Amino acid sequence: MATESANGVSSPELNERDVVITTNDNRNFTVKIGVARVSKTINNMIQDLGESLDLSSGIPLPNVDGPIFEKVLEWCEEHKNAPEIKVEQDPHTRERKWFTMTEWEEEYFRKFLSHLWDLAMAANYLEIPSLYYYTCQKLAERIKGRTPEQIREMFGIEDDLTEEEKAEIRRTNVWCTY
Amino acid sequence: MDSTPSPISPRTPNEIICDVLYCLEREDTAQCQMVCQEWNNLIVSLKNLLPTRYFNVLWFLKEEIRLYRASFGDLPEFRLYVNGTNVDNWTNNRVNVNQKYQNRSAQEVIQYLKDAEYGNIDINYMDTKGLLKILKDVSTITEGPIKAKRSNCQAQRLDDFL
Repeated sequence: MATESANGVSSPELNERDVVITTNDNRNFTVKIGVARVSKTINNMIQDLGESLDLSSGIPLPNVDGPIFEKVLEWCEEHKNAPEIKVEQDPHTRERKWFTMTEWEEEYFRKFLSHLWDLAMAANYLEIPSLYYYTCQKLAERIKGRTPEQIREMFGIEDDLTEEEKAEIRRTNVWCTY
Repeated sequence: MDSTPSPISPRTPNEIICDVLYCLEREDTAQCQMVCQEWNNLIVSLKNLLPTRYFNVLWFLKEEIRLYRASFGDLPEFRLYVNGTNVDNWTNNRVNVNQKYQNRSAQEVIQYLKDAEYGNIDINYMDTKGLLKILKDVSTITEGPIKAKRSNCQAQRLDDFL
């Protein structure tokens, strides 16, 4: 991590300071800067504001609501010192290699299973690669081995494919057992 | 603790759905195509980026075609018996080894070779005339080239043999 500063304070000291973050439902969260910086989006805001950063007036997050941000913060607290994740793909199949998760991470996703899409959207906006890619993997885990009907039911998706479109999909994926 | 599956929000960006699809095998993304129009269109547009099916070895040997997903040591995906000297109706033959293909004709099983990547194509022990007929039939059934990274012959595409 670079030793950038805000308010004239060096990075390690700054990381221990609190900053107020305001979500789109006007909830204020007082967070250690070192934790908030797990989000590249927030880190960039802190860097951009530099000397003019007012720690008490708050950083606005117009695209995230309080209940989801609370969950994101749990992740950031646990991963504040974690190294950057590396996204790799299988050279033959182009399939993304699956990450091995810790027991804490598995438990985290078990706890927030019904918020996976919201977590993915928040992690995408806040640029938290570990939370983003791990959540995508968890969503893939839910899809794997399931039929189209089961996937639709699970995610509340309407079947809007016509019979002609389905026939075309079957024709192009003739090796697939629909 | 939440235990119900997650509903998808209509405002979920395609970028996120793509990153989920990148984690899946081709067989699973094929299932996803049947979910809804939006997912189908997305998968079709990402055809060259999404995971593909990969088979390590497609082996043409005496009176038999074998397909291996991972390596020679594993059980083949299928074994297709072919009479190398009488190949007029070989596509009506039945397939052996894997229950998944039982009671399917060679014609149906050969379609399984479509839309996949191959590590090796090995051709051994077939008489030339029979081999050419079989390769021609395979190319016709799969409606396109089957190409591999390596082969034990000069060509890397099945239709180059023809």
